[in-house]
Amino acid sequence: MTTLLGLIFALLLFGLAALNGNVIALAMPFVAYLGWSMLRRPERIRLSAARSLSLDRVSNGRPVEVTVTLRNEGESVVEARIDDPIAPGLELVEGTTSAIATLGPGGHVAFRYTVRGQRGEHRFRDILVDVTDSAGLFHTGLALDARATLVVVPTAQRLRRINIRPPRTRGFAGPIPARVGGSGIDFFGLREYQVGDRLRRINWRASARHEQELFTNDLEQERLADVGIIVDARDETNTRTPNGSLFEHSVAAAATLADTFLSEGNRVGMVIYGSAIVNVFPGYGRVQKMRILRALGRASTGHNEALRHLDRLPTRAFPAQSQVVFVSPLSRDDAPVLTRMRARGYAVMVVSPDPVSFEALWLKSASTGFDPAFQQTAVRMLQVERRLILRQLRQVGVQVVNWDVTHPFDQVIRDALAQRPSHRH
Amino acid sequence: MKHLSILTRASLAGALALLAGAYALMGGWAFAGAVVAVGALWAFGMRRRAMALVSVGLAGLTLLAAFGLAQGLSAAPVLLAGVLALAAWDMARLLHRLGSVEHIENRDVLIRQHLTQLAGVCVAGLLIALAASIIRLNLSFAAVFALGLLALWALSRLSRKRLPH
Repeated sequence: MTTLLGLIFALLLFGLAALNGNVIALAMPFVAYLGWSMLRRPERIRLSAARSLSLDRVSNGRPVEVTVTLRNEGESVVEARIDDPIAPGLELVEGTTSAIATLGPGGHVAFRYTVRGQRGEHRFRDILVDVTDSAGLFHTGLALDARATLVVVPTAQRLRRINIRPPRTRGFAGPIPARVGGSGIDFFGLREYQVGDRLRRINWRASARHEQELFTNDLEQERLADVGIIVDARDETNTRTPNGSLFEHSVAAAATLADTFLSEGNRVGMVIYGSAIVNVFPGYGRVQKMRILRALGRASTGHNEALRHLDRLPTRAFPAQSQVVFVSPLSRDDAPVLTRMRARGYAVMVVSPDPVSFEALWLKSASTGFDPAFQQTAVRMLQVERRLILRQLRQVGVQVVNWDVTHPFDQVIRDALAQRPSHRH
Repeated sequence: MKHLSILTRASLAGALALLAGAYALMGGWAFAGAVVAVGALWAFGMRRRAMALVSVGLAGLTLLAAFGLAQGLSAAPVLLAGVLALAAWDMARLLHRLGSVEHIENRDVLIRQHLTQLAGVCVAGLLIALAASIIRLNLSFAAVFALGLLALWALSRLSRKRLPH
């Protein structure tokens, strides 16, 4: 409009100065054009916008269709350009995020596009609408509230059974050896024969050694367990390289473990320990799986000076003597806290994505300017330090899964937990 | 969109031909050359989707037309050239707007409606301009001055009321 107004001003002034009617006449088409534009400019704009997602929670990399609808609730005809800014972290796969439409009273326009994103919570903001007259001279910008949130949750792998042996189990039948005699599969011990015991369970060899007594084989009951998963989201421990963050591996591992424990019928809770403490209270089944995946989808690393060390870990969130799985790259200060947890009676398993091999892998491919021999020595020293931490944990009875993230998690955990944990607690 | 593009180029070519021809008939070859140069700048701007250059082109052609009228060029072809330049500018902006998005609801209807209205405005504007160039009124200086001030005041209010885009 600046060009047009400037030209009209210039022609009128020039015509008046030159006392030339033809020059002023030349301004008339421009004035008529401006007048037409003014007459057609929308008054009392009433628009409403809606954005719908085909799914509000998807697994990593799965596409989601977004439908944007703009409705004219006013009484004048509106020409509008609609822009739907994609939430950061999402990638447009198909379709378009902007449109132009002329909407009569009650009219609407809808367009679709497909996005895909990495794990995280992605928030869609306002839909931006630019209403213009037919000539595009007068603009009214609107930001219409149509907020939506898409949570991209980590993909949980299916694992075969994970052998855990917490000191205390729950009262319901399940897959975890309960350290209590009763009906089961595995031999637990001998006891005196009681009336009603099945004949086939009498241990004849032990009974033969005593004249007046019979002994019965006692089997170990198998029950459900309480499992608490702690995900370490501290900035200090989660290495980040240009190739990605180690935290993503921790999240994937936690999702897989939660899915596996829940599918066996156990009660699972989770704590994400980072810039804040996010607590998912213990629960069973598919609903709990969704809760955990949603929390993991939203999880991100962060720094909080108060939570820099594990001292403030809310261990009371998990029942006494239950199984605790700590998913963390580990720092040297973590071992005493985990040792204390063992001492309090928890069965502790540490699943540790290896930060040294993760960073070393990147260093190999990147040109850092450091002497390769110096780098190699540094990596070796860190590996020794890490081995010492892991050995210290194993010595106090912590099950340790050291995960070089270049290997698949299912294979690593299968190899690491191939043997049943001992009875010793 | 293709038809709109052709129509835009045809309008621009018409405006250039009329204005350059009017100058050439009067022997103003340098000004005819200037008209062609401004047209080339405009065409370049359209190709590069640089709307600022298109607007500069419109301003250049209009000022050359005004200067020609002051120099005594025939009014009818120059006024027609001005209207064609305005139509070409409008269509170039429409093309730019439509080209910036992939989804256009009822594109053909939208373009047809726009062109119909534009044609009406251009015809009306041309008729008013021709009438203004033919009709002669004797007004006192004070009346002309008052009318001029009124026009300037109205335009100033308009420009203040709506922020230019």
